[in-house]
Amino acid sequence: MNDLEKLRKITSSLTVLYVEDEEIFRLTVKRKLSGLFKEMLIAKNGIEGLEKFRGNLIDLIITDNIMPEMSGLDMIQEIRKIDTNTPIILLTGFIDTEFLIRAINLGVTQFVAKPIDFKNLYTAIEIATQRVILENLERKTREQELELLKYREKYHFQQQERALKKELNIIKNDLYLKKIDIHKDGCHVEWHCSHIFKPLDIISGDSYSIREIGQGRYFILLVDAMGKGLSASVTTILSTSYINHFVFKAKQQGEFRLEECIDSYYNFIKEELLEDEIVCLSFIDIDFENDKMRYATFSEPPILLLKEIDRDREVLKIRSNNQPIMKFPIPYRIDEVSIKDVTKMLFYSDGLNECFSGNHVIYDEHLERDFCRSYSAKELFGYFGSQMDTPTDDITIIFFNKLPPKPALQRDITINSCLGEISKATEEINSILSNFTSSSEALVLMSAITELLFNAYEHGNIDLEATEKRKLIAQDLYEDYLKRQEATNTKRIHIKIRIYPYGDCWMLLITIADEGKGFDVRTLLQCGNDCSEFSGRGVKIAQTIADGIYYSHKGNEVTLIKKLDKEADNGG
Amino acid sequence: MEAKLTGASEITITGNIQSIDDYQAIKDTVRSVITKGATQITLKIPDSLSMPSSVIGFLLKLVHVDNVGINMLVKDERLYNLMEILNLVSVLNVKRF
Repeated sequence: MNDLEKLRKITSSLTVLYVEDEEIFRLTVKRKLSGLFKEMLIAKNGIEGLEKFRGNLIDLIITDNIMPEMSGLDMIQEIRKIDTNTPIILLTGFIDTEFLIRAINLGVTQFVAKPIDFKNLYTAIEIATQRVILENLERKTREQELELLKYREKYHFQQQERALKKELNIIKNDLYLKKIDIHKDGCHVEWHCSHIFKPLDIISGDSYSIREIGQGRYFILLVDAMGKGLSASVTTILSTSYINHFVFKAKQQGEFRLEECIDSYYNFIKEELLEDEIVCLSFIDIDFENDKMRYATFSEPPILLLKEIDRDREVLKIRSNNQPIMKFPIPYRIDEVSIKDVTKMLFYSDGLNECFSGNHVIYDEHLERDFCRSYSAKELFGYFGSQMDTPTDDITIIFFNKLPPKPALQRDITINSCLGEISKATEEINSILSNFTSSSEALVLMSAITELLFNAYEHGNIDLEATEKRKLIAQDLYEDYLKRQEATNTKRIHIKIRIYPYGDCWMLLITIADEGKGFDVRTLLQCGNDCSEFSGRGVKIAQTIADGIYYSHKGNEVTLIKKLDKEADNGG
Repeated sequence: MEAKLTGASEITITGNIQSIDDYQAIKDTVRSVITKGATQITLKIPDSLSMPSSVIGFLLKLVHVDNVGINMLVKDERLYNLMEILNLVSVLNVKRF
């Protein structure tokens, strides 16, 4: 490779501006430099050179000095007002100290004497462009790094999104938006379960599962692996997945036994644990039919039970009856407690009770009080949030609440599947609510109730599937379809309003039942987040407004719960 | 609730938006503006504390199927929060006023 070819390798990506008034020089230089640059712009004098510099991205300027209209140095002076970096090679036969000082002060990079020795010009070009090449390289590297960073960030974000989806998929909650109905000795007892799962990172050290293991019998699992972050989450995910699999197999075989579950889990996890690793877990088997709870908790915070007999209230703290699970075998025990007069139960991870407030107060000191005054995990977490700093650990809360037996007010309304009757029913409900809460609170609540009534009407009794509804909306046929369907529909909607005194508040329960075929409540987990879908937000709106909503097993009856502040009522 | 035309493509909805009749009234008013050729509609909502999913569904259909831009100006913080929870602030251009 000759010198010119070497130079071409450096300059072939650059654009050069050559300014020369004498045609003979222009043609000679143009020929000699042809093919050396990506592009060569030619100007006949300083003014034209300045215009071309302003209008193009120039990497190198080669200019004569003495030219009509504007000299090379005057042009350089103007260029330096807007650009101080571009290298400039001045071609001149005029050597004068004052001239040289001015040229150097204007940042001329190289001088080449006239008549031009092209060897000298090539050397000058090589020296002048080295800096440009380096700068271009640096810029390109920075751009590449930025692109790489953007790509990595996007990649990590996608990975985290997938990991969270996977993590939530591993959690199995058979009581998601469902209530527990127990019919015994001619009495009906209703339990509501709510939960909060707040992992600190996408991949959490906490996990849980709520599984139905028989008629009125539920298995609660809480897992909190040692430490925080990814290492803890690996053990947590392994544990939850294995135990869920065990429950699945046990249900297939017809019976779930707590002892077998713990033994089987231990035999599995001991192979996976490191020598110094521990796992804290709660294995709880609640039999609501027979009012008993069996439990083996391994270094988990105490379970709280609120026992109420007439007006006497007592919080029972069920402390852990076992050490944490380790690689090494340790005997464990299972204990049993009666839940006969228990009206609330709280299971939680230590991220809740061991959190500190700004003035170093541990939440454990407030937990019992807040447990007693809360009706749901959402409400308890609200009290927690109002007192504590940002959590420093993952938080899991599972809250059970038994419905009080006697309402202060009960009103039953039955209507036909017809929009006119729904409107009348909402007016009636609104007037009842106005006696127990402020008009603005009643208005907000009515939004939630209307959503649920409408679901009972269109999805329940009219049996309009979500995908079909989307199609009808897109084609502007939705209202006509409803009108046609309601004309022949004989199914009814049953509304039950119950209001209970609840400490200093009222507890409102509105149950809306349709006569449709019901639905799988778990499908609601996917609803309401895609902003391009025209439907599927009703339940999410109701959830946002209410303290809790609970479906029956079949899915054709929903109960909305909301605590109403007595101070805000209008004399009810 | 009342939905009133307050500009060439601006509709002001006063009162709480809640019932099926409210949905129908909003739909009719918005449709009348679109019929006149509007491709951008501003909904000014000074009072409502909430918004039924049927109205939301109708507005999203306008955006995604009919290519009508929606600008929603809301006053009540509860309604704004609901729009945020439902991830609709950006698609319906929801702003406080």
